[in-house]
Amino acid sequence: MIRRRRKPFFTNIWWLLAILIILGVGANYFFMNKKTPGSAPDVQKNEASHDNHLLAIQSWQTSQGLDAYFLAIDNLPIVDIQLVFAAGSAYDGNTPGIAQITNQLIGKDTQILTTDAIVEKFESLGAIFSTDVSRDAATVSLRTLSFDDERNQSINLLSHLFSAVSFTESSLSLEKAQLLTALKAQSQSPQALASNAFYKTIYGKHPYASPTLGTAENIQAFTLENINEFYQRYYSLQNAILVITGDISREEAETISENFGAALPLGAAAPEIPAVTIPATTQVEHIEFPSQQKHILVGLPTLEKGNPDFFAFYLGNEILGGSGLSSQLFEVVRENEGLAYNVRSQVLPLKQKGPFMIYLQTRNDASEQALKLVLDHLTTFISTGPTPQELNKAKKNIAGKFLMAFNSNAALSQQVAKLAFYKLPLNYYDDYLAKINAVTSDDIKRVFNEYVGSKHLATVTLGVDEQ
Amino acid sequence: MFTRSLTLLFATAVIALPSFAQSSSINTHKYQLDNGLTLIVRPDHRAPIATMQLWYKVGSTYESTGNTGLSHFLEHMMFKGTKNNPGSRFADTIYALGGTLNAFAYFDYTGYWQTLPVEYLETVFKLEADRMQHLIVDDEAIFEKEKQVILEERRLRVDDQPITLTYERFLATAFNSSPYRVMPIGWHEDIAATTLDDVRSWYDTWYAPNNAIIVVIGDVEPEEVYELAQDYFGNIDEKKLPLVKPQPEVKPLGQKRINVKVPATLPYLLIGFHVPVLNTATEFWEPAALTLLSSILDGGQSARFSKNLIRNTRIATVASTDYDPFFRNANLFTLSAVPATDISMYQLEFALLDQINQLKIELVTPEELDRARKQLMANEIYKLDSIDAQANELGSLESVGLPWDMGNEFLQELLIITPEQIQHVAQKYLNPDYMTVAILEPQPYD
Repeated sequence: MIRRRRKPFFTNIWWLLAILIILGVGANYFFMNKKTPGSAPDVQKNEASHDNHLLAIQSWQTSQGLDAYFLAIDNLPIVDIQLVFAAGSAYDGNTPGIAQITNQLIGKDTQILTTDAIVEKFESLGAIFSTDVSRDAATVSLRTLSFDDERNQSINLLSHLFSAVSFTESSLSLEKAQLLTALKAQSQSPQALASNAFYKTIYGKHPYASPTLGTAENIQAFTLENINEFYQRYYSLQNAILVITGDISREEAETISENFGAALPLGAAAPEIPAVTIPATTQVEHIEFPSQQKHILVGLPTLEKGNPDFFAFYLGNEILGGSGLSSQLFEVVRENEGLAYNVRSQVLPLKQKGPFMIYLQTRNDASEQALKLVLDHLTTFISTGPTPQELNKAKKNIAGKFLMAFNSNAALSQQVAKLAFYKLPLNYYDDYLAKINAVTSDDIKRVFNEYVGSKHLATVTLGVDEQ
Repeated sequence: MFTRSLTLLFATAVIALPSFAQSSSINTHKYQLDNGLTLIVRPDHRAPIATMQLWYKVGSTYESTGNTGLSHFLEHMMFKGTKNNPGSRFADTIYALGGTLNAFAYFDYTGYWQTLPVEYLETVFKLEADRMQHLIVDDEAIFEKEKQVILEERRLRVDDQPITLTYERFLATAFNSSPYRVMPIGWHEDIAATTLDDVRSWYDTWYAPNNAIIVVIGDVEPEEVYELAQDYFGNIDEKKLPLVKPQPEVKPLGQKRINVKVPATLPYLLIGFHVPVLNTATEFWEPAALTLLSSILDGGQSARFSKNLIRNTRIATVASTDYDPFFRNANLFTLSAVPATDISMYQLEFALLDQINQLKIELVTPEELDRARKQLMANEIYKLDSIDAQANELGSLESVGLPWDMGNEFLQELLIITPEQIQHVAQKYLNPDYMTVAILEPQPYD
């Protein structure tokens, strides 16, 4: 039977827009935020643990110097490969959009193959090739069947995309048009506009301020030279990690990693993304837009990946507004007042301080009431913290998610890539639950006060101002 | 390790599924309780969790004029408590056991799902059985607040989204007599006018074991799940369900066109053709041929829309097809597209219809057909990586009155469809004289 495909932007109407769910998911902000951080890893029952680690991740460096990470999962005939480069939009410099368009151009042309030939080959093998850009990373992924023919041919083609890389004017102009359409789609989406404005407000001059898609003026001006320059600077083996997961042996994975090592230039690691300056004043921005709802976002930059305060902050955020139907904000704003369909809070650690945000949408004439409710509640939460019962329930919930959040090959591949890219220890999850369970209400009060309560929050609204 | 080649499977057993897709089918157990409740169980022992979905055969296509959005409204009210589990205890209990949950309302069904550590599966059965019988819908204040939540949901998902707004009007134009003319969320004024009694009576009418399907996938033994179902749902009385009228779409008598003028930045084109689905097809192969036709046009980046319209002629920046053969009643084959800069809507429509016309005058090539089939086969395997995707397939098939294993039977049919059959359905159904066209004409923001 047909698997419903995820289509670009907004075309899969039936499933993206027509199915109604009781609870608004965070997907409205998916332009910005790829994965909810801090979700737990998996415990694969059938996976023999090496050295008693939860995830038997193996890692090595190829003879050329490429860092490879490998996790065997042998219950389905699937192999997932990800190459992750420190080449996200934070590296755009003064050319917003360059990271995005360069990443989109991978797999479009090589010295001997056209786009038509490349996509026909992948798809005739039943393989799925995709690319993705976030603020920190640029990713090139392949999902393939693990049967010899399909696996070998699709992985060889993937490595050919790098070893014979070549960008053409024709593909560049096509990708520009695609990107400009995506930008136009954003400009009629209140969610996207509000989210972009929020990042701009809280990050000011920091590279995280600009949207991953870039801006129309810049995109028009990109030349092949720009693309080649960005590619050569960032798509190198010193600036990459290779993740191989699925139905494949260590030996085969090593051979594949050597092939990718040979396909990529040596290059150099990207420079550190600059540190984030926390806003020194309380900012309030409003964007006038003729929507029926006002979109409200409140927050600021908080935690970077690997910050030990993450566990307390994550747990606190779950209780405050992270956990859907059972969060405090859900109860206060939706259940008690009927003021929003979608209300939640998120913390998204990045290489540098990622945002904490509360967001909701409400009819224009109720926005003042809703905003006051949220801000008052946040103040109360920071000063009183969760009750022991709330704390215990949230810990139990996280323990359950620990089992379920990564029960698939696809999720495991993401998990390994996250640990590897952010240089978290490979045994990160061994004591994850112990760290969650050790968090006290006082810890939550402390971290929320330190990162939120004692700082200046930004408030961004988009909609029709009643005044 | 799996070292057998898929190509080999193709060659030796075109009609057979790959072994694991098939073994998961063999591994699926269907039961029916005396009160009519259907239970489907598929073990998946990869992690110590289970997902339980409870599907009711009622959705927006069961609703009448003036009462649209009722099934979705009820879905929201199902989280408001029973006598034994008042208020938000259902959600709170699942949460505290380490589970996640949500619910959905669609044209032909309404569903509720929970995923949690498998040791607590019994609690879900207990809670869902209680909610099937004892929902309390009597508090006006709670009801009015939830109505506001639903109106916010409509503003968020429809009213402030130019594409969805266009799509809503497109459906209302394409269908005259069929209930697929209304989106599941319902019209704003109908939601606003819904009463407590409407919702309670909708619940009393449709929520019964003989109108429900339970799907469980996870680290379970089928017989044990069957015991759970017996224990908690076995003694719920069946109800006499209303007769569901067929409500077919009247035969279109000509082309229908609308413009939607709202503030927006991207023009957008929708074209719909009335086509059969599995439930209405007189020939089983026709929905399969339409599915492959859809795949030939839009089954990936090597398909015709991407290759011809987006990459080569550059007429469109987005171009897709939509066809789902798993509805209760006849539906649409839909084309949608966004024009490239400087391309008029007229040129875009002409180009899309030209792609349709090509299918009528020339047979698709063996390479295209092979590629489409290979992707369908591979997707069957990738689908096994997601227990949600599997549960959704089993539940939606049973909910629209098809057996759960129709997915496999249909896949086998896809593998033997010929180029001539694809040409035949293109000629028979994709006729511009009877299509519906909707054009989103962006208006300036003031």
